[in-house]
Amino acid sequence: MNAAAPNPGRAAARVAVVGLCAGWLAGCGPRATPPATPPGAERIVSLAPNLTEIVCAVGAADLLVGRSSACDYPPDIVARVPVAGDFGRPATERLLALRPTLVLAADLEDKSLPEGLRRAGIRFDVVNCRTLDDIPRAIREVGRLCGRGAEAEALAVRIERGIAERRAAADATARPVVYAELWHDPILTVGAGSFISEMIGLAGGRNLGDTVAREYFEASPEWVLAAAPDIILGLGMDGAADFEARLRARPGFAALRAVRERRIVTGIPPDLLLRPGPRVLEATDELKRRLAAAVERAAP
Amino acid sequence: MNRRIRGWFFAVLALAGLALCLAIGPGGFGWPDWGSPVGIARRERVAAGFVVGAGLATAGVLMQALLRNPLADPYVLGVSSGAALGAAAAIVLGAAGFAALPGSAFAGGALTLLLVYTVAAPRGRAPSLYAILLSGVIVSSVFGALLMMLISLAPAAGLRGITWWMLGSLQVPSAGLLRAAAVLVAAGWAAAFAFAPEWNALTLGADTAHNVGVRARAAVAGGLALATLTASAAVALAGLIGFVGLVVPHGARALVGADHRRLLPAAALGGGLLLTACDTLARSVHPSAEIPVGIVTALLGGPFFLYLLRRRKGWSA
Repeated sequence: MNAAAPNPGRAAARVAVVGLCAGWLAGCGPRATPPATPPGAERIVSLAPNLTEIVCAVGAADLLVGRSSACDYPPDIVARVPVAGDFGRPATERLLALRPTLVLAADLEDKSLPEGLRRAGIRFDVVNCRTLDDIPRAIREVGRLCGRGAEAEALAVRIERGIAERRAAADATARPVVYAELWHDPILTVGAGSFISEMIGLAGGRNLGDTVAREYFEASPEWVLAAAPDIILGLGMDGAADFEARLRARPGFAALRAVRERRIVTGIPPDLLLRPGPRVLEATDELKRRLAAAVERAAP
Repeated sequence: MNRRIRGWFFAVLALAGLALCLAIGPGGFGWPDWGSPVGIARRERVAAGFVVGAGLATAGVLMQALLRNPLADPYVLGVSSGAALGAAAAIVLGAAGFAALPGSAFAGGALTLLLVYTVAAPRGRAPSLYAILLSGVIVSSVFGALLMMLISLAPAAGLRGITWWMLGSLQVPSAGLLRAAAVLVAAGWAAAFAFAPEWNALTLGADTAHNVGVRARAAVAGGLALATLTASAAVALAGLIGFVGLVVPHGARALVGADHRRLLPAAALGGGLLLTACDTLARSVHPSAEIPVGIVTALLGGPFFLYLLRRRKGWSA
């Protein structure tokens, strides 16, 4: 990508190209009446994997001109979208060179970035997803920003209904205690108020970390051992294929009943499980299936 | 009180302190069942604290004697920055297996001393102490820059690992690793103890040491190697834990005197006890979460060092 030098000729050409593309889209799009793209959303850069998924799920993938290096889904779309930096840590020049009109982010390392972008006339929006109920809200917000309100509404309603159904169906009694490990060194687990804790609840378990009112926290190993969880869930953020071996090597863990009886759940793709995005219902159902299978193993 | 009696008194006190640490945990006070998960975890944790603390204190004693500098600690010659660089490289490159990080940290620490010593030595002659110190400081800062570069390149998830590692933690990743570190520290300490008369002579200066029949150059090189061995083993197991290796040798010297035949046992015991006690605090103040032990050692070790400084009004190495 060339450094963007101010060049009136090139700017004119750019407008022409954008115009042509818009014309092409209007003429040859799959829909009879394609939704109008609101001004300011012609070139979207998403700096968070879940937002990239939402942009694609509401049918605005063709407006996406940049993503973070962590955005890996949907694979066929992200493969053709250039990278504007890391998750929450964009490379400013690379980002500007993509000439975005709208930048979407979840968390940012550099808190001064939005101000700089806004001064450059680029719209910047932070869309947070901390809880499950934030997900439909985020979908509507992203849909509104990129002019795909109707698609977003349909998707948001589907997810809201799905969450409500699963909440109503979740058995309040006899739920196995799940210790969910996010990272191994230091051991990091999820507390109450994270969407992962809610998902464990919908999947029929009870999150051990719910006694702590934080999204994520460094857990004391002795506390995990003393609590003797029924199931150990490796969330896979560290991409460890050897989660079980690592767990067994740690002092005391091999003597846990859940480890002895191999009630260890790993291997759910982290892009599915750890992403508060449009696939949250699929992730919850997969987790439920895997937790139930682990409980089966415990039964004599 | 006689220094010998004080030494034995301290030894008994230290063992009682370790027993106390075994009885304290996030769940409260009391001996756990030693076969239970909690019991296994706690005894290995206390063992790790003792091994790391003893290793750092032994390295500190050796560094202070060899460099004849009261401010010397196990990290003064760049063991810490070399080990941190090795650990960070393992994290950034995504090295697999739970021995990869400690292994590369150990190698990084050991290779750094080799580099520092080689740079300081002019064409095969013995390097001066000043040259070693200067070379250590410069190599450290260059490695520090490389470390910062790796951190800025690290994936967001890996950053947490590096930061935590640099604060130090006694969450032992595997019992095998603990045993390996224990063997290295014990071997390094035993060798250091065997040469205690050499260190005594060297604290008087290389010329005096030479006159009493110590081969100063070999003794300095060997001593630095032993200090690096014990420090690297400790760092590989627990990351960068500060202050133990600086404070404990001074405290032990105040207690049993500067004779290395008494100083080395006292420092190893004291270092093991201090770090275990700090870690007991770090893992027990909150029922479910931990604070990095390096923060506790710095908070307690710093004021203790200042207390020693005021009490002694000057230094006798």
